[in-house]
Amino acid sequence: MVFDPESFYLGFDTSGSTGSVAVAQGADVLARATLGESREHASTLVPAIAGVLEEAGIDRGEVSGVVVGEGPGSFTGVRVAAATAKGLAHALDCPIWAISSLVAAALSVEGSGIRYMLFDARGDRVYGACYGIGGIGVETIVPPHGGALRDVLDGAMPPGAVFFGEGAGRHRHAIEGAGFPVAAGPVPQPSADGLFRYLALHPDASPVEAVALWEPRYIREWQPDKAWSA
Amino acid sequence: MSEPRGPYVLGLETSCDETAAAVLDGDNRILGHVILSQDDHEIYGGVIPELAARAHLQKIDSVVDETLSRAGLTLDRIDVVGVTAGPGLIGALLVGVCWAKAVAFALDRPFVAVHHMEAHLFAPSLENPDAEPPFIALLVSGGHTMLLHVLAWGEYVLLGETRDDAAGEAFDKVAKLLDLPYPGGPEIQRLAEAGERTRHRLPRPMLRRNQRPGDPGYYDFSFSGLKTATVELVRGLKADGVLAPQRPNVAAAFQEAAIDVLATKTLRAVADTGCRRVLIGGGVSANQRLRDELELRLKGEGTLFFSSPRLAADNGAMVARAARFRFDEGGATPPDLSASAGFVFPGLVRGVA
Repeated sequence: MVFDPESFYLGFDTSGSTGSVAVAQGADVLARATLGESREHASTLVPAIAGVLEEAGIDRGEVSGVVVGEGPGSFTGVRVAAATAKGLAHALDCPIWAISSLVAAALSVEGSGIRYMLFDARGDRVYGACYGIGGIGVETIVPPHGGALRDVLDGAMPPGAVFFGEGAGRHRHAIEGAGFPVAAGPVPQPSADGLFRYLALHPDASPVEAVALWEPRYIREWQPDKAWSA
Repeated sequence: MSEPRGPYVLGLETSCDETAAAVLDGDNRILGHVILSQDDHEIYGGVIPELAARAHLQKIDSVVDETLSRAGLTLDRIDVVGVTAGPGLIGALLVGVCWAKAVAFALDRPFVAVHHMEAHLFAPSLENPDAEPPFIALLVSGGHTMLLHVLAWGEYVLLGETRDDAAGEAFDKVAKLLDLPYPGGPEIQRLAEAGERTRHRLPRPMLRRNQRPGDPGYYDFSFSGLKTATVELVRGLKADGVLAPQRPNVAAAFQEAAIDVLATKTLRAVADTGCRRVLIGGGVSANQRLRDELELRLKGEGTLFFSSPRLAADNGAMVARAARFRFDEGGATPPDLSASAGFVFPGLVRGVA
Protein backbone atom coordinates (compact mmCIF):
# COMPACT_ATOMS: atom_id res chain seq x y z
CA MET A 1 0.00 0.00 0.00
CA VAL A 2 1.47 3.33 -1.08
CA PHE A 3 0.72 6.75 0.31
CA ASP A 4 -1.07 8.33 -2.64
CA PRO A 5 -0.93 12.12 -3.20
CA GLU A 6 -4.46 12.12 -4.66
CA SER A 7 -6.21 10.15 -1.88
CA PHE A 8 -7.82 11.43 1.33
CA TYR A 9 -6.33 10.61 4.72
CA LEU A 10 -7.32 11.21 8.33
CA GLY A 11 -4.50 12.03 10.73
CA PHE A 12 -4.58 12.47 14.49
CA ASP A 13 -2.47 12.39 17.64
CA THR A 14 -3.76 12.46 21.23
CA SER A 15 -0.58 11.47 23.05
CA GLY A 16 -0.09 14.85 24.71
CA SER A 17 -2.02 17.55 26.48
CA THR A 18 -3.17 19.07 23.18
CA GLY A 19 -4.70 16.69 20.68
CA SER A 20 -4.74 17.30 16.97
CA VAL A 21 -6.85 16.09 14.03
CA ALA A 22 -6.66 16.80 10.31
CA VAL A 23 -7.89 15.53 6.99
CA ALA A 24 -5.50 15.74 4.06
CA GLN A 25 -5.32 15.02 0.36
CA GLY A 26 -2.02 13.24 0.10
CA ALA A 27 0.01 15.24 2.61
CA ASP A 28 -1.80 18.53 1.96
CA VAL A 29 -3.93 19.36 4.96
CA LEU A 30 -7.46 20.44 3.96
CA ALA A 31 -8.97 20.98 7.42
CA ARG A 32 -7.68 20.70 10.95
CA ALA A 33 -8.90 20.85 14.55
CA THR A 34 -7.20 21.11 17.92
CA LEU A 35 -8.39 19.19 20.96
CA GLY A 36 -7.93 20.91 24.33
CA GLU A 37 -7.82 19.34 27.77
CA SER A 38 -6.16 15.90 27.58
CA ARG A 39 -8.78 14.23 29.77
CA GLU A 40 -11.37 15.01 27.11
CA HIS A 41 -9.58 13.50 24.10
CA ALA A 42 -11.74 10.36 24.18
CA SER A 43 -14.86 12.53 24.08
CA THR A 44 -13.74 15.01 21.46
CA LEU A 45 -11.74 12.94 18.96
CA VAL A 46 -14.57 11.36 16.94
CA PRO A 47 -16.67 14.57 16.81
CA ALA A 48 -13.51 16.42 15.66
CA ILE A 49 -12.93 13.83 12.94
CA ALA A 50 -16.53 14.32 11.78
CA GLY A 51 -15.96 18.08 11.88
CA VAL A 52 -12.82 18.15 9.71
CA LEU A 53 -14.38 15.81 7.15
CA GLU A 54 -17.44 18.01 6.93
CA GLU A 55 -15.34 21.16 6.66
CA ALA A 56 -13.33 19.63 3.81
CA GLY A 57 -16.48 18.28 2.15
CA ILE A 58 -15.26 14.69 2.22
CA ASP A 59 -17.45 11.68 2.94
CA ARG A 60 -16.19 9.17 5.51
CA GLY A 61 -16.33 6.46 2.86
CA GLU A 62 -13.77 8.36 0.77
CA VAL A 63 -11.05 8.05 3.42
CA SER A 64 -8.22 5.84 2.10
CA GLY A 65 -6.08 5.58 5.19
CA VAL A 66 -5.44 6.65 8.77
CA VAL A 67 -2.23 8.35 9.92
CA VAL A 68 -1.80 8.10 13.68
CA GLY A 69 0.72 9.34 16.20
CA GLU A 70 1.92 6.06 17.75
CA GLY A 71 3.28 7.60 20.98
CA PRO A 72 5.14 7.84 23.23
CA GLY A 73 3.16 9.98 25.62
CA SER A 74 0.36 9.54 28.12
CA PHE A 75 -0.49 5.80 28.07
CA THR A 76 -4.19 6.56 27.99
CA GLY A 77 -3.84 9.32 25.39
CA VAL A 78 -1.77 7.09 23.13
CA ARG A 79 -4.44 4.39 23.44
CA VAL A 80 -7.31 6.76 22.65
CA ALA A 81 -5.73 7.54 19.26
CA ALA A 82 -4.69 3.92 18.68
CA ALA A 83 -8.11 2.40 19.49
CA THR A 84 -9.81 5.01 17.31
CA ALA A 85 -7.37 4.39 14.45
CA LYS A 86 -7.88 0.63 14.68
CA GLY A 87 -11.69 0.98 14.70
CA LEU A 88 -11.65 3.32 11.69
CA ALA A 89 -9.21 1.15 9.74
CA HIS A 90 -11.18 -1.99 10.55
CA ALA A 91 -14.51 -0.54 9.47
CA LEU A 92 -13.17 1.33 6.42
CA ASP A 93 -10.87 -1.58 5.50
CA CYS A 94 -7.97 0.80 5.03
CA PRO A 95 -4.32 0.91 6.16
CA ILE A 96 -2.79 2.70 9.15
CA TRP A 97 0.42 4.69 8.99
CA ALA A 98 1.88 4.81 12.51
CA ILE A 99 4.36 7.63 13.03
CA SER A 100 6.22 8.61 16.18
CA SER A 101 4.53 11.37 18.16
CA LEU A 102 8.05 12.71 18.78
CA VAL A 103 8.68 13.32 15.07
CA ALA A 104 5.14 14.69 14.72
CA ALA A 105 6.07 17.26 17.35
CA ALA A 106 9.50 17.95 15.81
CA LEU A 107 7.82 18.73 12.48
CA SER A 108 5.02 20.83 13.93
CA VAL A 109 7.17 23.98 13.91
CA GLU A 110 8.75 25.40 10.77
CA GLY A 111 12.48 25.39 10.18
CA SER A 112 15.36 22.99 9.86
CA GLY A 113 18.23 21.82 12.03
CA ILE A 114 18.97 19.17 14.58
CA ARG A 115 16.09 18.87 17.02
CA TYR A 116 16.30 16.79 20.16
CA MET A 117 12.64 16.31 21.11
CA LEU A 118 11.80 15.66 24.75
CA PHE A 119 8.39 14.76 26.19
CA ASP A 120 7.91 14.88 29.92
CA ALA A 121 7.42 11.40 31.41
CA ARG A 122 7.03 12.51 35.05
CA GLY A 123 9.71 12.97 37.65
CA ASP A 124 13.15 13.29 36.11
CA ARG A 125 12.20 11.00 33.25
CA VAL A 126 11.65 11.86 29.62
CA TYR A 127 10.83 10.34 26.27
CA GLY A 128 13.28 11.56 23.66
CA ALA A 129 14.42 11.30 20.06
CA CYS A 130 16.76 13.37 17.93
CA TYR A 131 15.98 14.30 14.33
CA GLY A 132 17.94 16.04 11.62
CA ILE A 133 15.40 18.06 9.68
CA GLY A 134 16.21 19.40 6.23
CA GLY A 135 14.36 20.40 3.09
CA ILE A 136 14.44 16.93 1.61
CA GLY A 137 13.82 14.67 4.57
CA VAL A 138 14.02 13.79 8.23
CA GLU A 139 16.93 11.76 9.50
CA THR A 140 16.44 9.91 12.76
CA ILE A 141 19.72 10.49 14.60
CA VAL A 142 18.65 9.07 17.99
CA PRO A 143 15.53 6.86 17.78
CA PRO A 144 12.66 7.22 20.28
CA HIS A 145 13.67 6.08 23.75
CA GLY A 146 12.76 6.66 27.37
CA GLY A 147 14.72 7.15 30.54
CA ALA A 148 16.27 9.61 32.96
CA LEU A 149 17.04 13.08 31.63
CA ARG A 150 20.51 12.67 33.10
CA ASP A 151 21.25 9.77 30.75
CA VAL A 152 20.26 11.90 27.76
CA LEU A 153 22.50 14.78 28.85
CA ASP A 154 25.43 12.50 29.70
CA GLY A 155 25.09 10.52 26.47
CA ALA A 156 26.59 11.21 23.07
CA MET A 157 24.97 14.43 21.90
CA PRO A 158 24.70 15.09 18.15
CA PRO A 159 26.65 18.32 17.44
CA GLY A 160 24.40 21.34 16.99
CA ALA A 161 21.37 19.71 18.65
CA VAL A 162 18.75 22.05 20.09
CA PHE A 163 16.27 20.74 22.64
CA PHE A 164 12.56 21.06 21.86
CA GLY A 165 9.26 20.01 23.38
CA GLU A 166 7.32 19.99 26.64
CA GLY A 167 10.05 17.98 28.35
CA ALA A 168 12.73 20.45 27.26
CA GLY A 169 10.72 23.34 28.70
CA ARG A 170 10.16 21.58 31.97
CA HIS A 171 13.86 20.69 32.38
CA ARG A 172 15.24 23.88 30.80
CA HIS A 173 17.40 24.63 33.82
CA ALA A 174 19.11 21.23 33.85
CA ILE A 175 19.59 21.16 30.07
CA GLU A 176 21.06 24.64 29.85
CA GLY A 177 23.13 23.90 32.94
CA ALA A 178 24.66 20.98 31.04
CA GLY A 179 25.60 23.40 28.27
CA PHE A 180 22.91 22.61 25.68
CA PRO A 181 20.47 25.06 24.07
CA VAL A 182 16.72 24.91 24.54
CA ALA A 183 14.59 26.31 21.71
CA ALA A 184 12.77 29.55 22.35
CA GLY A 185 9.25 30.20 21.13
CA PRO A 186 6.11 28.06 21.24
CA VAL A 187 6.44 24.54 22.59
CA PRO A 188 5.88 22.09 19.72
CA GLN A 189 3.10 19.57 20.32
CA PRO A 190 2.62 16.38 18.32
CA SER A 191 0.21 17.50 15.62
CA ALA A 192 -1.62 16.06 12.64
CA ASP A 193 0.21 18.65 10.52
CA GLY A 194 3.47 17.17 11.77
CA LEU A 195 2.31 13.66 10.85
CA PHE A 196 1.44 14.77 7.31
CA ARG A 197 4.64 16.76 7.00
CA TYR A 198 6.54 13.58 7.78
CA LEU A 199 4.67 11.75 5.01
CA ALA A 200 5.28 14.64 2.61
CA LEU A 201 9.01 14.12 3.17
CA HIS A 202 8.74 10.32 3.26
CA PRO A 203 5.83 9.27 1.00
CA ASP A 204 7.42 5.83 0.72
CA ALA A 205 6.83 5.11 4.44
CA SER A 206 5.14 1.73 4.90
CA PRO A 207 1.79 1.35 6.65
CA VAL A 208 1.56 -1.10 9.56
CA GLU A 209 1.60 -4.69 8.38
CA ALA A 210 -1.43 -6.09 10.21
CA VAL A 211 -3.93 -3.56 11.53
CA ALA A 212 -5.57 -6.09 13.88
CA LEU A 213 -2.30 -6.85 15.66
CA TRP A 214 -0.84 -3.36 15.66
CA GLU A 215 -0.03 -1.71 18.99
CA PRO A 216 1.21 1.79 19.73
CA ARG A 217 4.74 2.44 20.98
CA TYR A 218 4.42 3.00 24.70
CA ILE A 219 8.22 2.65 25.11
CA ARG A 220 7.84 2.21 28.85
CA GLU A 221 6.79 -1.20 30.16
CA TRP A 222 4.24 -1.36 32.92
CA GLN A 223 6.36 -3.22 35.48
CA PRO A 224 8.26 -0.69 37.56
CA ASP A 225 11.30 -2.96 37.94
CA LYS A 226 11.77 -3.34 34.22
CA ALA A 227 10.53 0.09 33.26
CA TRP A 228 12.41 1.99 30.63
CA SER A 229 13.56 -0.84 28.42
CA ALA A 230 12.97 0.87 25.12
CA MET B 1 -35.59 -21.83 14.09
CA SER B 2 -36.45 -18.99 11.76
CA GLU B 3 -33.82 -17.29 9.66
CA PRO B 4 -31.85 -14.62 11.53
CA ARG B 5 -32.97 -11.11 10.74
CA GLY B 6 -31.85 -7.66 11.80
CA PRO B 7 -31.28 -5.39 13.41
CA TYR B 8 -27.91 -6.99 14.14
CA VAL B 9 -26.33 -5.64 17.31
CA LEU B 10 -22.63 -5.90 18.09
CA GLY B 11 -21.86 -5.80 21.83
CA LEU B 12 -18.36 -5.08 23.13
CA GLU B 13 -17.11 -5.53 26.66
CA THR B 14 -13.67 -4.36 27.87
CA SER B 15 -14.41 -3.09 31.38
CA CYS B 16 -12.04 -5.41 33.24
CA ASP B 17 -9.89 -8.34 32.11
CA GLU B 18 -12.15 -9.98 29.53
CA THR B 19 -12.07 -8.82 25.92
CA ALA B 20 -15.49 -9.94 24.74
CA ALA B 21 -17.79 -9.46 21.79
CA ALA B 22 -21.08 -10.90 20.59
CA VAL B 23 -23.62 -10.36 17.85
CA LEU B 24 -27.36 -10.66 18.47
CA ASP B 25 -30.01 -10.77 15.79
CA GLY B 26 -33.29 -8.86 15.83
CA ASP B 27 -34.86 -11.55 18.04
CA ASN B 28 -32.00 -11.31 20.57
CA ARG B 29 -30.56 -14.64 19.54
CA ILE B 30 -26.80 -15.01 19.93
CA LEU B 31 -25.22 -15.48 16.51
CA GLY B 32 -21.59 -15.14 17.56
CA HIS B 33 -20.01 -14.99 21.00
CA VAL B 34 -16.33 -14.77 22.00
CA ILE B 35 -14.74 -14.14 25.40
CA LEU B 36 -10.99 -13.80 25.58
CA SER B 37 -9.74 -13.92 29.18
CA GLN B 38 -6.44 -12.19 29.80
CA ASP B 39 -4.23 -14.69 31.54
CA ASP B 40 -1.32 -12.32 32.17
CA HIS B 41 -2.91 -11.14 35.45
CA GLU B 42 -2.59 -14.59 37.06
CA ILE B 43 1.06 -13.98 37.88
CA TYR B 44 0.12 -10.91 39.92
CA GLY B 45 -2.94 -12.38 41.64
CA GLY B 46 -5.18 -9.57 40.45
CA VAL B 47 -5.94 -7.36 37.51
CA ILE B 48 -3.28 -4.79 36.62
CA PRO B 49 -5.19 -1.91 34.97
CA GLU B 50 -2.44 -0.84 32.57
CA LEU B 51 -1.80 -4.40 31.40
CA ALA B 52 -5.54 -4.97 30.95
CA ALA B 53 -5.88 -1.86 28.78
CA ARG B 54 -2.91 -2.83 26.62
CA ALA B 55 -4.22 -6.36 26.15
CA HIS B 56 -7.69 -5.13 25.13
CA LEU B 57 -6.18 -2.93 22.43
CA GLN B 58 -4.04 -5.81 21.22
CA LYS B 59 -6.96 -8.25 20.96
CA ILE B 60 -10.11 -6.28 20.19
CA ASP B 61 -9.94 -6.55 16.38
CA SER B 62 -9.30 -10.29 16.47
CA VAL B 63 -12.07 -10.92 19.01
CA VAL B 64 -14.58 -9.01 16.87
CA ASP B 65 -13.43 -10.74 13.68
CA GLU B 66 -13.86 -14.15 15.28
CA THR B 67 -17.30 -13.17 16.60
CA LEU B 68 -18.43 -11.98 13.16
CA SER B 69 -17.06 -15.06 11.50
CA ARG B 70 -19.05 -17.29 13.89
CA ALA B 71 -22.13 -15.17 13.19
CA GLY B 72 -21.56 -15.46 9.45
CA LEU B 73 -21.69 -11.69 9.10
CA THR B 74 -19.31 -8.97 7.98
CA LEU B 75 -18.82 -5.81 10.01
CA ASP B 76 -20.80 -3.68 7.54
CA ARG B 77 -23.93 -5.80 8.26
CA ILE B 78 -23.96 -4.57 11.88
CA ASP B 79 -26.84 -2.15 12.54
CA VAL B 80 -26.03 -1.01 16.09
CA VAL B 81 -22.67 -0.88 17.90
CA GLY B 82 -23.05 -1.30 21.67
CA VAL B 83 -20.23 -1.04 24.19
CA THR B 84 -19.77 -1.01 27.96
CA ALA B 85 -18.95 2.59 28.92
CA GLY B 86 -18.72 1.98 32.67
CA PRO B 87 -18.31 1.27 35.46
CA GLY B 88 -14.97 -0.49 35.34
CA LEU B 89 -11.27 0.20 34.87
CA ILE B 90 -11.09 3.50 33.00
CA GLY B 91 -8.13 2.61 30.75
CA ALA B 92 -9.73 -0.71 29.82
CA LEU B 93 -13.15 0.84 29.18
CA LEU B 94 -11.64 3.54 26.95
CA VAL B 95 -10.28 0.96 24.52
CA GLY B 96 -13.73 -0.49 23.87
CA VAL B 97 -15.46 2.88 23.79
CA CYS B 98 -12.96 4.55 21.42
CA TRP B 99 -12.90 1.52 19.13
CA ALA B 100 -16.71 1.26 19.08
CA LYS B 101 -17.20 4.97 18.45
CA ALA B 102 -14.74 4.85 15.54
CA VAL B 103 -16.44 1.81 13.99
CA ALA B 104 -19.92 3.29 14.41
CA PHE B 105 -18.77 6.56 12.88
CA ALA B 106 -16.99 4.89 9.96
CA LEU B 107 -20.05 2.71 9.17
CA ASP B 108 -22.49 5.55 9.89
CA ARG B 109 -24.37 3.38 12.41
CA PRO B 110 -25.66 4.26 15.87
CA PHE B 111 -23.28 3.89 18.78
CA VAL B 112 -24.90 2.95 22.11
CA ALA B 113 -23.14 3.22 25.48
CA VAL B 114 -24.17 0.58 28.00
CA HIS B 115 -23.96 0.37 31.79
CA HIS B 116 -22.10 -2.79 32.74
CA MET B 117 -24.44 -3.71 35.60
CA GLU B 118 -27.60 -3.11 33.58
CA ALA B 119 -26.13 -5.48 31.00
CA HIS B 120 -25.73 -8.19 33.67
CA LEU B 121 -29.48 -7.94 34.37
CA PHE B 122 -30.22 -8.93 30.77
CA ALA B 123 -27.90 -11.96 30.61
CA PRO B 124 -30.30 -14.67 31.88
CA SER B 125 -33.02 -13.51 29.45
CA LEU B 126 -30.77 -14.50 26.55
CA GLU B 127 -31.14 -18.14 27.56
CA ASN B 128 -34.49 -18.14 29.32
CA PRO B 129 -37.40 -16.12 27.92
CA ASP B 130 -39.05 -16.14 31.37
CA ALA B 131 -36.19 -14.17 32.94
CA GLU B 132 -38.07 -10.90 32.52
CA PRO B 133 -38.99 -8.35 35.21
CA PRO B 134 -40.28 -8.07 37.78
CA PHE B 135 -37.56 -9.73 39.83
CA ILE B 136 -35.16 -9.20 42.71
CA ALA B 137 -31.64 -9.05 41.28
CA LEU B 138 -28.46 -9.91 43.14
CA LEU B 139 -25.48 -8.78 41.06
CA VAL B 140 -22.22 -10.16 42.41
CA SER B 141 -18.89 -9.83 40.67
CA GLY B 142 -15.27 -8.90 41.24
CA GLY B 143 -16.14 -5.22 41.12
CA HIS B 144 -19.73 -4.99 42.37
CA THR B 145 -22.27 -6.27 44.84
CA MET B 146 -25.78 -4.86 44.34
CA LEU B 147 -29.27 -5.82 45.36
CA LEU B 148 -32.00 -4.40 43.11
CA HIS B 149 -35.73 -4.57 42.72
CA VAL B 150 -36.26 -4.62 38.96
CA LEU B 151 -39.82 -3.48 38.31
CA ALA B 152 -39.46 -3.39 34.54
CA TRP B 153 -36.58 -3.06 32.08
CA GLY B 154 -35.24 0.41 32.77
CA GLU B 155 -36.95 0.75 36.18
CA TYR B 156 -34.55 -0.21 38.91
CA VAL B 157 -34.76 0.32 42.67
CA LEU B 158 -31.38 0.01 44.37
CA LEU B 159 -32.00 -1.72 47.70
CA GLY B 160 -28.46 -2.29 48.86
CA GLU B 161 -24.84 -2.49 47.80
CA THR B 162 -21.46 -3.21 49.30
CA ARG B 163 -19.89 -0.62 51.56
CA ASP B 164 -16.35 -1.81 50.91
CA ASP B 165 -15.08 -4.83 48.96
CA ALA B 166 -17.16 -6.54 46.31
CA ALA B 167 -18.11 -10.17 46.98
CA GLY B 168 -15.95 -11.42 44.12
CA GLU B 169 -13.03 -9.35 45.34
CA ALA B 170 -13.28 -11.08 48.73
CA PHE B 171 -13.25 -14.47 47.00
CA ASP B 172 -10.15 -13.43 45.04
CA LYS B 173 -8.34 -12.15 48.13
CA VAL B 174 -9.09 -15.24 50.21
CA ALA B 175 -7.98 -17.40 47.29
CA LYS B 176 -4.68 -15.54 47.22
CA LEU B 177 -4.36 -16.06 50.97
CA LEU B 178 -4.79 -19.80 50.44
CA ASP B 179 -2.26 -19.80 47.57
CA LEU B 180 -4.99 -20.47 45.00
CA PRO B 181 -4.69 -19.02 41.50
CA TYR B 182 -6.60 -16.00 40.15
CA PRO B 183 -9.55 -15.71 39.62
CA GLY B 184 -10.37 -17.10 43.02
CA GLY B 185 -14.11 -17.83 42.88
CA PRO B 186 -14.07 -21.21 41.16
CA GLU B 187 -10.95 -22.23 43.13
CA ILE B 188 -12.55 -21.46 46.50
CA GLN B 189 -15.65 -23.40 45.48
CA ARG B 190 -13.57 -26.42 44.44
CA LEU B 191 -11.44 -26.40 47.59
CA ALA B 192 -14.50 -25.86 49.81
CA GLU B 193 -16.12 -29.01 48.43
CA ALA B 194 -13.50 -31.03 50.33
CA GLY B 195 -13.96 -29.02 53.53
CA GLU B 196 -16.31 -28.92 56.50
CA ARG B 197 -18.56 -25.88 56.48
CA THR B 198 -18.84 -25.66 60.24
CA ARG B 199 -15.27 -26.51 61.25
CA HIS B 200 -14.46 -22.79 61.59
CA ARG B 201 -16.91 -20.01 62.23
CA LEU B 202 -16.44 -16.69 60.42
CA PRO B 203 -18.50 -13.52 60.94
CA ARG B 204 -21.55 -12.57 58.86
CA PRO B 205 -21.11 -8.80 58.49
CA MET B 206 -24.16 -6.53 58.55
CA LEU B 207 -26.65 -9.23 59.53
CA ARG B 208 -27.10 -9.11 63.26
CA ARG B 209 -27.52 -5.42 63.91
CA ASN B 210 -29.48 -4.58 60.78
CA GLN B 211 -32.47 -6.84 61.03
CA ARG B 212 -35.43 -4.57 60.34
CA PRO B 213 -36.36 -2.58 57.24
CA GLY B 214 -35.15 0.93 57.90
CA ASP B 215 -32.05 -0.21 59.79
CA PRO B 216 -29.11 1.57 58.15
CA GLY B 217 -27.56 -1.52 56.63
CA TYR B 218 -30.65 -3.67 56.22
CA TYR B 219 -29.87 -4.49 52.59
CA ASP B 220 -26.22 -3.44 52.42
CA PHE B 221 -23.17 -5.68 52.32
CA SER B 222 -19.67 -5.52 53.73
CA PHE B 223 -16.95 -8.03 52.97
CA SER B 224 -13.77 -6.43 54.28
CA GLY B 225 -14.41 -7.55 57.88
CA LEU B 226 -15.00 -11.11 56.71
CA LYS B 227 -11.78 -10.95 54.73
CA THR B 228 -9.86 -9.66 57.78
CA ALA B 229 -11.34 -12.40 59.98
CA THR B 230 -10.24 -14.97 57.39
CA VAL B 231 -6.73 -13.49 57.38
CA GLU B 232 -6.64 -13.85 61.18
CA LEU B 233 -7.91 -17.42 61.02
CA VAL B 234 -5.26 -18.36 58.46
CA ARG B 235 -2.54 -16.64 60.50
CA GLY B 236 -3.55 -18.61 63.60
CA LEU B 237 -3.63 -21.92 61.74
CA LYS B 238 -0.26 -21.18 60.19
CA ALA B 239 1.25 -20.37 63.60
CA ASP B 240 -0.07 -23.70 64.88
CA GLY B 241 1.44 -25.43 61.86
CA VAL B 242 -1.90 -26.89 60.76
CA LEU B 243 -2.79 -24.64 57.83
CA ALA B 244 -2.19 -27.20 55.07
CA PRO B 245 -4.80 -29.76 56.21
CA GLN B 246 -7.20 -26.96 57.21
CA ARG B 247 -7.23 -25.13 53.86
CA PRO B 248 -10.43 -26.82 52.60
CA ASN B 249 -12.15 -26.01 55.92
CA VAL B 250 -11.10 -22.37 55.71
CA ALA B 251 -12.39 -22.13 52.13
CA ALA B 252 -15.69 -23.74 53.17
CA ALA B 253 -16.08 -21.48 56.22
CA PHE B 254 -15.42 -18.36 54.16
CA GLN B 255 -17.76 -19.42 51.36
CA GLU B 256 -20.51 -20.24 53.87
CA ALA B 257 -20.23 -16.85 55.55
CA ALA B 258 -20.25 -14.92 52.25
CA ILE B 259 -23.16 -16.91 50.85
CA ASP B 260 -25.14 -16.69 54.07
CA VAL B 261 -24.96 -12.89 53.89
CA LEU B 262 -25.82 -12.76 50.17
CA ALA B 263 -28.74 -15.18 50.53
CA THR B 264 -30.10 -13.59 53.69
CA LYS B 265 -30.20 -10.09 52.18
CA THR B 266 -31.74 -11.40 48.97
CA LEU B 267 -34.45 -13.23 50.88
CA ARG B 268 -35.16 -10.10 52.92
CA ALA B 269 -35.90 -8.35 49.63
CA VAL B 270 -38.12 -11.24 48.56
CA ALA B 271 -40.05 -11.11 51.81
CA ASP B 272 -40.44 -7.34 51.86
CA THR B 273 -41.43 -6.89 48.22
CA GLY B 274 -43.47 -10.04 47.87
CA CYS B 275 -41.59 -10.62 44.63
CA ARG B 276 -40.56 -14.27 44.61
CA ARG B 277 -38.64 -14.13 41.37
CA VAL B 278 -34.90 -13.84 41.95
CA LEU B 279 -32.21 -13.24 39.34
CA ILE B 280 -28.50 -13.59 40.02
CA GLY B 281 -25.83 -12.19 37.74
CA GLY B 282 -22.10 -11.47 37.63
CA GLY B 283 -19.15 -13.81 38.00
CA VAL B 284 -20.02 -14.97 41.55
CA SER B 285 -23.48 -16.06 40.35
CA ALA B 286 -21.69 -19.05 38.81
CA ASN B 287 -21.05 -20.31 42.37
CA GLN B 288 -23.04 -23.51 42.83
CA ARG B 289 -23.33 -23.14 46.61
CA LEU B 290 -24.92 -19.71 46.15
CA ARG B 291 -27.46 -21.14 43.70
CA ASP B 292 -28.23 -24.11 45.94
CA GLU B 293 -28.66 -21.92 49.00
CA LEU B 294 -31.00 -19.50 47.22
CA GLU B 295 -33.06 -22.40 45.80
CA LEU B 296 -33.25 -23.89 49.30
CA ARG B 297 -34.38 -20.67 50.92
CA LEU B 298 -36.96 -19.99 48.21
CA LYS B 299 -38.40 -23.40 49.26
CA GLY B 300 -39.79 -24.14 45.84
CA GLU B 301 -42.12 -21.16 46.18
CA GLY B 302 -40.12 -18.89 43.96
CA THR B 303 -38.09 -18.89 40.78
CA LEU B 304 -34.35 -18.46 40.52
CA PHE B 305 -32.94 -17.17 37.23
CA PHE B 306 -29.26 -17.42 36.41
CA SER B 307 -27.04 -17.78 33.37
CA SER B 308 -24.77 -20.48 32.11
CA PRO B 309 -21.13 -19.69 32.97
CA ARG B 310 -20.35 -18.02 29.63
CA LEU B 311 -23.09 -15.43 30.23
CA ALA B 312 -22.66 -15.12 34.02
CA ALA B 313 -19.16 -13.68 33.63
CA ASP B 314 -18.46 -10.51 31.64
CA ASN B 315 -19.49 -11.00 28.03
CA GLY B 316 -20.51 -9.14 24.90
CA ALA B 317 -23.96 -10.71 24.49
CA MET B 318 -25.41 -9.04 27.57
CA VAL B 319 -23.93 -5.73 26.36
CA ALA B 320 -25.53 -6.18 22.94
CA ARG B 321 -28.88 -6.99 24.58
CA ALA B 322 -28.73 -3.94 26.84
CA ALA B 323 -27.64 -1.80 23.86
CA ARG B 324 -30.69 -3.00 21.92
CA PHE B 325 -32.94 -2.02 24.83
CA ARG B 326 -31.31 1.39 25.25
CA PHE B 327 -31.40 2.03 21.50
CA ASP B 328 -35.10 1.17 21.28
CA GLU B 329 -35.76 3.40 24.31
CA GLY B 330 -33.72 6.47 23.47
CA GLY B 331 -31.79 6.05 20.24
CA ALA B 332 -28.08 6.48 19.72
CA THR B 333 -25.64 7.84 22.29
CA PRO B 334 -24.01 11.17 21.31
CA PRO B 335 -20.49 10.64 19.92
CA ASP B 336 -18.90 12.89 22.52
CA LEU B 337 -19.66 10.38 25.28
CA SER B 338 -16.57 8.91 26.89
CA ALA B 339 -16.02 5.97 29.17
CA SER B 340 -16.40 6.67 32.86
CA ALA B 341 -15.59 4.63 35.94
CA GLY B 342 -18.64 6.29 37.53
CA PHE B 343 -21.02 5.87 34.58
CA VAL B 344 -24.55 6.48 35.85
CA PHE B 345 -26.86 3.46 36.02
CA PRO B 346 -29.79 4.55 33.85
CA GLY B 347 -33.22 4.22 35.43
CA LEU B 348 -31.81 3.52 38.90
CA VAL B 349 -33.35 5.08 41.98
CA ARG B 350 -32.27 4.52 45.54
CA GLY B 351 -35.08 3.30 47.65
CA VAL B 352 -36.67 0.81 49.91
CA ALA B 353 -38.84 -1.89 48.45
